Amino acid sequence: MSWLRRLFQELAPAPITSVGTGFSTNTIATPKNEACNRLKLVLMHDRTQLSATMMETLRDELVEVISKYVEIDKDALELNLEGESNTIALVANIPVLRARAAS
Amino acid sequence: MVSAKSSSKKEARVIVVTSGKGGVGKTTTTANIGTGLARMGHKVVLIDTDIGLRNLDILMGLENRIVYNIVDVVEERCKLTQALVKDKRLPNLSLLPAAQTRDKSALSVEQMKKLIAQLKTEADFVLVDSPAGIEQGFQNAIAAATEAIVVCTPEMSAVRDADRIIGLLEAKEEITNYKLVLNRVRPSMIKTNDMMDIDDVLEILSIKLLGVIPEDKDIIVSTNKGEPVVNMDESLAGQAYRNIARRVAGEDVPYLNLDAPLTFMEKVMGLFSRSKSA
Repeated sequence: MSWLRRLFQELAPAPITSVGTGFSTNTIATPKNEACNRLKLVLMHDRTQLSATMMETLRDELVEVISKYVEIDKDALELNLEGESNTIALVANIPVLRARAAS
Repeated sequence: MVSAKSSSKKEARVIVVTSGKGGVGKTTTTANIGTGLARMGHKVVLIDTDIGLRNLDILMGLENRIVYNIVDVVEERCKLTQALVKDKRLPNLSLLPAAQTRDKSALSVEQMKKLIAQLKTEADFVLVDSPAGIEQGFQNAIAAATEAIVVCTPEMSAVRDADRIIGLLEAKEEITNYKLVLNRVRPSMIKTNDMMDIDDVLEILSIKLLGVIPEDKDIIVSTNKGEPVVNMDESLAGQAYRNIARRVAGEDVPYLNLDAPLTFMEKVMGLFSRSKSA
């Protein structure tokens, strides 16, 4: 199923949150440029690293908010920081069980 | 060096030399900047905080003169003055060696602060050589520092670790100034786009440059001799370190032209023109 999820992620128009990089990307594939581009991406990751407890809190609060509107499978919820071509995306995969009845 | 005579009331600048990654040239940089400053007449104390893996003594050629070490001082087995090893040539330069048979936990942040407070009144510069890593040893090394020199090579892993270190230095309020020494630069590889250049590293790390050291076999030779390369008058790396020492002392020194002279003759000519301008 992971290939399916990946496919949908790729098709998804925009991630939930994305952090601008502020870095320009070099295009010609010399070892120098490769090093620069790879480093910029790695450092974006390193610099946006959330601590385990922050991630846990974020997850819990997300569940709380979303659960107001839809019933979700809390245990299957996935939340990750992922590197795209030149952005970092907070990618959440939240399986929905059913919508809440309108109150 | 720490004697009863305390002529100046001015406090020493305490500068930590650090990198995150091991093997990028922290100890070499500490030895050479320290020796460079001492050659200019400043009173300098070098502190090796790499407890268990001491090496600064080797680079200074002082390994046979060590009696006491930093742990002996903090555990009060000797006085600070007894542990300081005087340099072979420069009487205004001394080394406080690390303990070799202990580990990083033998020293605490509080002990380091106390120790450096004692040295501060007696020297112009206290250079603290930090161990690799970001754990206890690093915390000890930065404990009393107000300035930092980040050593890095133009390699991905070194730059990544330097970025982490810069983050930690930024988080420490007492450190008001930190700059980069880019070590082991190979101009010929930069020319062929096989290596990141100086501007790449400065942009990625958003840090100011203190100086650039070329990859130079003189460094290996000088280590083998126990004589910092800064003392080798004809060495390019030595010249680069002499310039850095002057910048640390506040002088405005133009950067060396490292554009690799490819032929022997060019190299000789290059050295000739450099020594005239230096």
